[in-house]
Amino acid sequence: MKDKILEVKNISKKFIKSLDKTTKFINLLGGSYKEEVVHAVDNVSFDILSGEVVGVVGESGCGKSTLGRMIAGIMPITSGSVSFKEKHYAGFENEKYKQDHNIDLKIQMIFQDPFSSLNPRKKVLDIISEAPIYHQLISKKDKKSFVAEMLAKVGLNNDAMPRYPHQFSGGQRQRVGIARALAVSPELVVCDESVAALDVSIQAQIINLFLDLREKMNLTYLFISHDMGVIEHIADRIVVMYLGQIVEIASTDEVINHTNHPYTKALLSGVPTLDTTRKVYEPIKGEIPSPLNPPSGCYFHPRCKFATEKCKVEKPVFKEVAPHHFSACHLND
Amino acid sequence: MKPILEIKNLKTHFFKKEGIVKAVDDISFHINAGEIVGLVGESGSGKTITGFSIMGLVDAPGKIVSGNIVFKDIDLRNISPKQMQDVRGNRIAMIFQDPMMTLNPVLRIQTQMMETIKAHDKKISNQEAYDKCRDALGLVGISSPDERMKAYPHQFSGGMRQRVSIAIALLNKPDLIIADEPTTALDVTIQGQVIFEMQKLCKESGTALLWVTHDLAVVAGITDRICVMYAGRIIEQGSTDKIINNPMHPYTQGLIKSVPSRNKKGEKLHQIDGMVPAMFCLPEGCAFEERCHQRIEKCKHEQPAELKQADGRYLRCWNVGESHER
Repeated sequence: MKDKILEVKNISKKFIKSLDKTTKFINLLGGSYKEEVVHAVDNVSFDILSGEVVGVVGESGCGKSTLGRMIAGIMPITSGSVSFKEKHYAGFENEKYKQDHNIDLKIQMIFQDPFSSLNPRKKVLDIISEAPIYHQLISKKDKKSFVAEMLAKVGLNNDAMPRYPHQFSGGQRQRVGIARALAVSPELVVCDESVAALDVSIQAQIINLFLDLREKMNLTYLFISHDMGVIEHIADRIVVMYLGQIVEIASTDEVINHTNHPYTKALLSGVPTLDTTRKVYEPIKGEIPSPLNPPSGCYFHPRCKFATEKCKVEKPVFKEVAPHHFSACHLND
Repeated sequence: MKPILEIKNLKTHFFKKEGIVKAVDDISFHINAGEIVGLVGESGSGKTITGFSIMGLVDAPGKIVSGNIVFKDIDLRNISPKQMQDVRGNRIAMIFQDPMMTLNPVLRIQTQMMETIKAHDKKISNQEAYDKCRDALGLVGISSPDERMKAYPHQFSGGMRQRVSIAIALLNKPDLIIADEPTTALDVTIQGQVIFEMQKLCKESGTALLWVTHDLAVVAGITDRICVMYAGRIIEQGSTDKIINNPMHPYTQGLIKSVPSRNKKGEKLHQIDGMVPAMFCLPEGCAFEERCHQRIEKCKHEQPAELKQADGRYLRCWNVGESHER
């Protein structure tokens, strides 16, 4: 049994739109305006084993990016806890502890858009070496040889060093982003839609690079994507999110072959495949509801074709339906 | 059967300070009535400019240099801008990738929709136009269309907005719809819904569809024929079944092999090395030569000609195919 590298326990993120002065004043006079609260991530728990690739899938607005950002420590957590190698930290709260243990460095993030996640005014040499120099992992005089080594790892050559991000193509820029994340030798890398903005032929190159680096550097990935095809290929375990909550977790094979939750089924069947025989799509109805005003009971019931009366009232419990296969659906009762 | 749209040797070039960009370079294809054709390529391959050229939307510094675009016996390159306006939005409609950019944010949905009808039918009464628009909204699966007509685009979700643009495209019952990446900005489940809707509507109304996309998987299930573009040229075109199940051009083969579902889980994906060449300085020979694992000496010096194969497909490759001596 591998060790747990990361444990996420009941973490939530609320975005609160507070009242402005006018509405507060109206409230004083007897108005009844309420603050708008969005539960972007609602009571989510799971863990990641060392060396594993965990894929998070869901539609836009389901909270998967928020979850990734909280784990990477660049967004404060509203409640709950995240522990890295059995040591707690949570967002920015435990600043002292994080500094002592360099948890920030051990968890790095690679973003979706290689155009906006690199500083356009910095040369690649400085983009990659900035963090390690700041954290005193390397000395200034080793800068060049260190960056050369990082560039080689991600498949770029030394010509890249004096160039600016705009001089690269999308795929190369994403490689620079990967090199920057790996420069501080992290153990866990959060990839937030890291291949979504790339062309098909470049996407395959970057996915291969991820697989390569995983082997060479013993990395663990939290791979966030909306693309079931990519997740299916790269992930060992899949976490399916809907409206801020996890609806199903299991190993990739289990999710694909013994899909439990109707939402996961819908996601899987909605994916266009390279199959010329299937000529008619049967999509699920409706759209993801507003998180400001989520439906009662099971959040998925308005779109679910198996929904019963119970689903409308009672929230399903997240429980084990098969060994290591968890799902939240009333149909399992 | 006579094709509804026939494009012959179309060249659209952009004249820039840095040089000439041959965004579309000598492409020929046709679309039959009621047919769904997929135009597939990576970004920068010229697929969107092909759509723009048909619609007459190419702006300076771009220019259609040569070639014919014949739509139902009308040569679209030789008609006045006024005549073109009668065709555009009326006989040929276009759906764009980002519905937030194509809908006017300060106009109600009904204003925008009725505008489309009134631009082409000056005599129609307001009530009639309104009814048509409301029915069109209902047709694309928007519930309670009467209320939705009064809404503004920002009150709609991405999927709903794209439905509205589809409804607008369908309003004048066009003979051809050019859909430029209509589902790329949408979620998987919504993408499924939109594909489903488009498929149904085209079948019912007999509208031909040119589906422009970077995603082979999307067009695999719905199109009759596929054209694959690379660096401004169509390098392979033929029936969907042949292109997907038996690709011949090394680039098409590479694209299909690199799709994750065609690979064994967890193993390295098949990859096409290198990247698309810069459009300013395309090589003298085949543009794919540098990345190709089946290249021969000839590829370096000479542009491959488009040749018809025994099974009916067209191919641009010196090494693969029957019509070339090796």
